[in-house]
Amino acid sequence: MMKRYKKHTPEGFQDILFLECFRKRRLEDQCRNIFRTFGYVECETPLLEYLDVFEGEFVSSEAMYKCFDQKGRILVLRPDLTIPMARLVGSRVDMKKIPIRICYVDSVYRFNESAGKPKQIVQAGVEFIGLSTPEADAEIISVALETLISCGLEAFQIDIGQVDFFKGIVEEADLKESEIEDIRRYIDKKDIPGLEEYLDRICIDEHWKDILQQLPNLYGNFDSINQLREFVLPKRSRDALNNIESVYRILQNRGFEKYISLDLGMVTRLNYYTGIIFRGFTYGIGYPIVSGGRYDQLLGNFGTASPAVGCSHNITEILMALERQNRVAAFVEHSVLMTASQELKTEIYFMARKLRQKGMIVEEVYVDEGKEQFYKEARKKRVRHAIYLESIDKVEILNVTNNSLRILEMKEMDKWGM
Amino acid sequence: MEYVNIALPKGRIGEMTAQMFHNIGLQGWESLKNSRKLIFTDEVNKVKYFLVKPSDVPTYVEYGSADIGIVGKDVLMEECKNLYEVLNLGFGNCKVVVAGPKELLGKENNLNYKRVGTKYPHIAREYYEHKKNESVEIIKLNGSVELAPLVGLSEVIVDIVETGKTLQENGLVVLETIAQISARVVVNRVSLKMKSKGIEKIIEGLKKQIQSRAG
Repeated sequence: MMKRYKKHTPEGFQDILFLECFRKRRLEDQCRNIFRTFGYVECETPLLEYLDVFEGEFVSSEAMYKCFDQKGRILVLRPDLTIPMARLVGSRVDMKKIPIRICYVDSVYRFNESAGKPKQIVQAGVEFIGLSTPEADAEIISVALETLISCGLEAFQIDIGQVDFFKGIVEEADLKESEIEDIRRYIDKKDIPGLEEYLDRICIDEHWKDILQQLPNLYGNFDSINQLREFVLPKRSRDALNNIESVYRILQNRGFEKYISLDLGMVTRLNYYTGIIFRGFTYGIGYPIVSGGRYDQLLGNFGTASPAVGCSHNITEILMALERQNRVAAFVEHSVLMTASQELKTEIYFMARKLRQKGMIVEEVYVDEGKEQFYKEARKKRVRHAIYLESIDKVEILNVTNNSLRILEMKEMDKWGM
Repeated sequence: MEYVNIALPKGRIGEMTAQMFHNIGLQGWESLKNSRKLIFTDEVNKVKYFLVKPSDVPTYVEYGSADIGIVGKDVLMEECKNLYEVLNLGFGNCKVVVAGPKELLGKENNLNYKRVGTKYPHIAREYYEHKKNESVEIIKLNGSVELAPLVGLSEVIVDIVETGKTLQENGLVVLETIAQISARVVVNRVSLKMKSKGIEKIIEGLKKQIQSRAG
């Protein structure tokens, strides 16, 4: 009965072949490079974690793939990497060494209802632990921007918000949990008529109502923040505005203005984020390709409390975006096909070794059907060059691209290369 | 400059929206209606329209194939896509209700095992599970839902009601109201940020239309 599934991968899980795999690895390496040059050091956590690590409102239980160990404890395929990193830092890192910069590039697993949507996602992310200043916030956003630029995406934008502004208002307005959640949802969906109607229905001070109604429209230019300064604001909200403005100035000075935009109506995952929050978008993909923010309360769950800010890039989606924007790298192969007549087979290996050391891809052909057949194969396979060792000192090289033939002596091979 | 793509629903809501678009200077909707072409382009205003089945509008917008979509709130509640809902167009007004034979009026809570026939299984499930805390059997139907209680397929139905005439003619009454429905404008989350000028111009135009109609 299980034979039905022998040839398929589970829904939402894909095989990644050849060129696609090459591109994915290249993208991962590009991210690693940027992270490394900013001083972030890579760490790895296990694929399987105890469910307890993710319990709480961090990740929805329904979205996790679960299994059991021999003692009946519930394990999950990690749905996220920020939380495992917090666990790692909390339990293994000497907090006296803060600030600490950590990064990761790995897969996470999330169940979703959509039939074809990937359930295995590669995330490349960074965490800056120990500082709660706008400089730290701006550094993470700068890393995100540099990473997206180096990926080669056409036109992208990072929206920046500050959840403490919203939290400050609803705290002062003394609303019920369910009311805060409903308001949050209306603002997050930019459902202005819905929000108005809801605020009219519940018991809330006119003052707070006016401010909350501004939020869905507070996106775009950072100057819009000034509109809010005209209201009398609680300290928490004022601090939030000061923070986001400072972060903006830093990014502006770095020349990132054209990539960033304000969105004070971005109010998601309020139990997780405690300050700056941001999401990056590009053409061709309906979901954020990078998301992050400040989560000062997270590390305390696993050890010594410490402020932290970070973000993670969705490599799987960035790859799709690059494909849809036609900005994928061409597969440049310095490839060579090589063969020789029977007596010279050993010589070929040494020649190949020298070329491989120069970084070329050399494939040896073992079937001996004669030179012409060999060249035909090379053209079919679309390699760059085909090398035929005629005799111990005569090397015949076919340049497949322009179909020209060259004869070299063995000693000239040292200089030969692309 | 990028085009703004708009998904319009086939049917009455689509036609009424087209009239509004016409009034704000967007052109070409009539050609879409009268030809076999699926997409129409307004080169002057850099807008593309296409007609889709109402229940597909949120899908096109979520994937970004359409930047803007016009669709009834009932479809939005059923499809639950991750979109920005920015405007209530104020027409296409109706309600999602629980309806059943008039004998059930006031007594529907007495039923031990309730089967609910509906075109909106998600709305029905959300309503019974979270608002009423009742365990019911949801039977998905694709049309003429009023038939279900008449032939014993279900005890009640969750359906759209406008004037109430269809229910009345079949001996059914509204037992409970779930939500008020009207046509809404939805926008793809990425498009709103990346094509903000083009989209905002259209939304503002529609807003003015609504205000001038109300005033």
